[in-house]
Amino acid sequence: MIEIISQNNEQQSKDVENNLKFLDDESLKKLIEETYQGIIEDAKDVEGFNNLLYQEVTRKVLGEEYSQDDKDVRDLGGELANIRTRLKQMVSGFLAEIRGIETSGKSPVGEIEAEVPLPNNQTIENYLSRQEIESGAKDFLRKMLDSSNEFKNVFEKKLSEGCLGALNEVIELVKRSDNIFSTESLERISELKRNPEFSNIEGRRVEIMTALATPLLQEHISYKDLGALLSSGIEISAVSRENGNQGYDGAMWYDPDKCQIIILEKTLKDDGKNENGIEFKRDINHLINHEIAHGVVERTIKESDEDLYEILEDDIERCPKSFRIAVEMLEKANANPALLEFQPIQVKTACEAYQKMVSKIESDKSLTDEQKKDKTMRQKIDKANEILTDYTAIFLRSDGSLGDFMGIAMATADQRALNQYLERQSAGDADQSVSEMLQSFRKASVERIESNNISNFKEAVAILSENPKLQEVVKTFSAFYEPIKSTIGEKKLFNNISEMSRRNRFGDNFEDESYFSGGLYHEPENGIPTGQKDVHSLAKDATDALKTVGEEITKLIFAGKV
Amino acid sequence: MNQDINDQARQIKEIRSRFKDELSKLKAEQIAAICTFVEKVDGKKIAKIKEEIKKL
Repeated sequence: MIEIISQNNEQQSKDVENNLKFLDDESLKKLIEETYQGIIEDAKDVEGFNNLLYQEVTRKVLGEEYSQDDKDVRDLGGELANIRTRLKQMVSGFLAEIRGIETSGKSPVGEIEAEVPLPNNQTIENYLSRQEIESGAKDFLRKMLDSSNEFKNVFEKKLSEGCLGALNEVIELVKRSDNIFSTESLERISELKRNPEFSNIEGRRVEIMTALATPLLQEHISYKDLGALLSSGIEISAVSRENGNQGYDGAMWYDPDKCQIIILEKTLKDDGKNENGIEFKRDINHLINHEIAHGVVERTIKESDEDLYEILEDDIERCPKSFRIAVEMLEKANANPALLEFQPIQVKTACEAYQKMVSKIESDKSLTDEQKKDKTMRQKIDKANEILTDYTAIFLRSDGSLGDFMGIAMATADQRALNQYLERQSAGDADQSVSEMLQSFRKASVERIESNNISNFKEAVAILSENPKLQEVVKTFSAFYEPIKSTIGEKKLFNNISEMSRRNRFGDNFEDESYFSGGLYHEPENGIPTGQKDVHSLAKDATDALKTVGEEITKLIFAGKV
Repeated sequence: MNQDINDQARQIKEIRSRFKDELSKLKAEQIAAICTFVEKVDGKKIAKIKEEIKKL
């Protein structure tokens, strides 16, 4: 017998739970609705706790004392982010199953929404409103987001994924945006504002900050890493570096002794036409990341130039893999100039400068053969370092995937030379799709430059990279990508600041306060961390803490709060 | 027809039950993550974490 349930909803629900045989269309609909919402609510609870753990416990509570760029906190952030992602996938899967039942049966539940967003689907403004930072810093961050669609897109992506660790790293950086430049440089910026050629110098400051924030947002380096790499901040220099050995002028450079980026004043000029009347736009994001990458390479390629000299003379196979590939690139480019057409501009420049300098050395009659060999080797080390640095910068800007890496590499290439290469590769190809593919690529390239729309560009690169005729490009980019990813991804650059002082060339000068003036490094209240606590007492503390905190969490779970 | 509805309801309940199981596993992983973290930090900080967790 079928009994139509006509009592109030609460009673109906209980009957549904207990007596499936009495179900009718209405009660089934209610059961589906309740289950659907129940899954979402349960997920919200878990996700809410997940967010709370990371945001409140690790950042707000521990704050400066236990800076969140510490490896342990980052590991926790990574674990929690991973759990959140899986939670979302799980919820989607189960809800899809329910919808499957709904559509296969005759139950009228069409009004249930197909997708119910999880609570962390928040806007940038919501996120900013919760940040305890000065309004000036918030406004600065808004300017950064407005200045670059690429940055904004990544920021929104991290927000939607709940990667609060990465976002908090950016906040830490923005909070100290006034300390990045030295007092003298800030004064110079104020003076330059009156010069019509520097009318956008404030915009340049925003671009510089956006560039510094990019590898933090992409989770390749921490705020503390960046602080160590730039402990003396950024200086502006009216004069170019003495660069007779470079073979070209630099727009900015990195001083590894002072851990400082020095920007040539004219680099901060407005975009416009160059001396040849050609329109140009400076890629400040890449230039800055290139200089940060110099610091990264300094610390990931442990060998000094002198050691590399010896290794290269002895057996190139003993070189760190990424450096060896850079040396090989110099040699390959010499034999096959077409290889340079798709290289990032700074890689192309380094290869061309190497060829120029080697010719100059070879033709210098005042040098002995031994001196020529010595100078050539030093050029090789210098230019290989530039090549590796630029590819490292590309990795720092990327989301860590090969596709993104290739997209940025192509985006930083000389577009005219790259187009020539692509056209030559597809010449005579009867396949219409190749020409369509190139058209899409060019259109996306223009969009990227004109409206900073990077997503179509990356998609076009991904399609291009599957073309068999472009495997030389894919192979070259992959050759750099793999070892750089391995170096940056697996080794932590600095476990702490004191390790850096032991390892690098600072020596006794590290204690000199001048290294911190105008820089990013924020000295903890309790001083620079030194040494390890006694291992046994640490282990005991940890075990005790694990026990007590574990108990607290267990209580909360049973109390239904977790 | 009513048999179909009952079958659908059972499937729904079975989905809910499986979801709860899976969710419990994720909760356990989440707790394991925080415990691993706690294991790594030193005593003073642990006291702060404990205080905060009590408030949750």
